[in-house]
Amino acid sequence: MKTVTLTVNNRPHTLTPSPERTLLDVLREDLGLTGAKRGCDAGECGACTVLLNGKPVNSCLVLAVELSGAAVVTIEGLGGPDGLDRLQQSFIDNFALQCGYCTPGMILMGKALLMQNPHPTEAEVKEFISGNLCRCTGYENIVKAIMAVAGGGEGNG
Amino acid sequence: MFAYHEPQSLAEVTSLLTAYGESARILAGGTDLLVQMRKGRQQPHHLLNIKTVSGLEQIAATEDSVEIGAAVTLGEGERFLAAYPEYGVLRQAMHSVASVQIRHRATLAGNLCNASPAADTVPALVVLGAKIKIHGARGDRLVPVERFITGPGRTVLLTGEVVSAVVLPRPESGSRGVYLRKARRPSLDLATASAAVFAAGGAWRIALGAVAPTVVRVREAERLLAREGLSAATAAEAARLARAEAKPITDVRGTAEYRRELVAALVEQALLALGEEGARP
Ligand SMILES: Cc1cc2nc3c(=O)[nH]c(=O)nc-3n(C[C@H](O)[C@H](O)[C@H](O)COP(=O)(O)OP(=O)(O)OC[C@H]3O[C@@H](n4cnc5c(N)ncnc54)[C@H](O)[C@@H]3O)c2cc1C
Ligand code: FES
Ligand code: FES
Repeated sequence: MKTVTLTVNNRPHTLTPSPERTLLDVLREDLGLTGAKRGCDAGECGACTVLLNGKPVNSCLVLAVELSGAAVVTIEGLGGPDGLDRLQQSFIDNFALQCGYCTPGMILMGKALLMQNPHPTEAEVKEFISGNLCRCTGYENIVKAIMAVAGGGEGNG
Repeated sequence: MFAYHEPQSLAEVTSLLTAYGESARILAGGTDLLVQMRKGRQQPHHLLNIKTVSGLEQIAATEDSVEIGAAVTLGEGERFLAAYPEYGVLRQAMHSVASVQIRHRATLAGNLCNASPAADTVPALVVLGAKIKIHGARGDRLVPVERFITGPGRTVLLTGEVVSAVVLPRPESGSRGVYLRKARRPSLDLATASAAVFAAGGAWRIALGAVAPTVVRVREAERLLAREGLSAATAAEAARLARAEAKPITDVRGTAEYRRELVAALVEQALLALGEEGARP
């Protein structure tokens, strides 16, 4: 079986996943990183979103065997010894979550957007997160939480 | 269970495809294939990752064409085409696929090869007159996109053949196009109906998506616009001709009657939008 070397949240890992296993399977079942959630397993809900080489993808639609040399960032990779990432804190401050199932994906989408466009409009935020479903919040506070950081300078994650 | 392969060249892809026949599938972004496998609709024994073939991740722009490699994602394509307003119709179509996350994985070639009647990029590729570059045991061949897809899920690809690139001819300067689609929600849903319109010099092309087994051209409307130019009246007449050309089905996304009305409205709106953009009628 093929051996794959990749980094997850800057830590190197060597894996030999069987070919049908996805990045989401490996994160949750082998690496103990359960931040990325399994919602639909079909690319439709965004709960499994992670950053792959800096870009958000649905980890349920990426085979782990494909990831030689890849750099993966999950929600566990945000923040640091000094505390939460500013966007994480903003989600708390703006009441942008209820059950929290969509939250890791939403926050990583916010990070990805702000990396490529530090000052998005509200419409741009809404469009960017349109591949992420939330059953609870009605989205308003999620958009507010991202806009609050967009207005206020650089994040620390 | 399947075996996973990382071919390094098109020749290797072709020899693997020839050896394994129907039990092999090419894996590009996997956004169609992996979902179909999970639903049990495809059960390949061999997956060949096309993204490991060197060179296919490139976009080559020359004086005559822009060639988009088979491993180029929709997201990368969108960004590249931002510098080419004449290809705006394709850029809009790429942008309307699924979500940011999917567009970072899904390829243009995969959208085409999956051959869904609702695939967003196909009507845009049709109005641009795109050609599909195919590699096989006997070398390369070029097939016009309109002849590439033969029915839902069916293409002209023969055993051992693989798409290496999508080739866009360079339209004359000042050419402009518009792609419009309507779905039940703006993201993550296939189009209920879609329309691509394109004006190059005095010539027009109109193609409809999701209203027939394959994309349909509305040639009578194209001739009318070439003859009489774009006006509110000819846009309305083109819409009427599009409604007549559509052969839609009824499914969860809409009834056949609704689709016919919808596609007519999309054609009219797309033409009027193009008129406002100031394209030469
Ligand atoms: C949630 C969701 C929403 C979606 N929404 C849309 C939408 O709005 N509009 C839309 O058009 N599509 C949509 N899709 C479908 C899909 O994302 C696109 O069709 C995508 O472009 C497929 O590209 P891929 O690279 O992922 O293809 P893959 O899944 O890797 O391949 C698709 C098929 O083409 C074959 N293939 C791929 N590359 C080649 C090649 N080079 N040569 C020969 N055969 C090849 C594969 O073997 C497979 O049969 C959606 C999918 C999902 C999961
Ligand atoms: S679990 Fe991956 S998109 Fe829903
Ligand atoms: S907070 Fe519950 S799904 Fe978004």
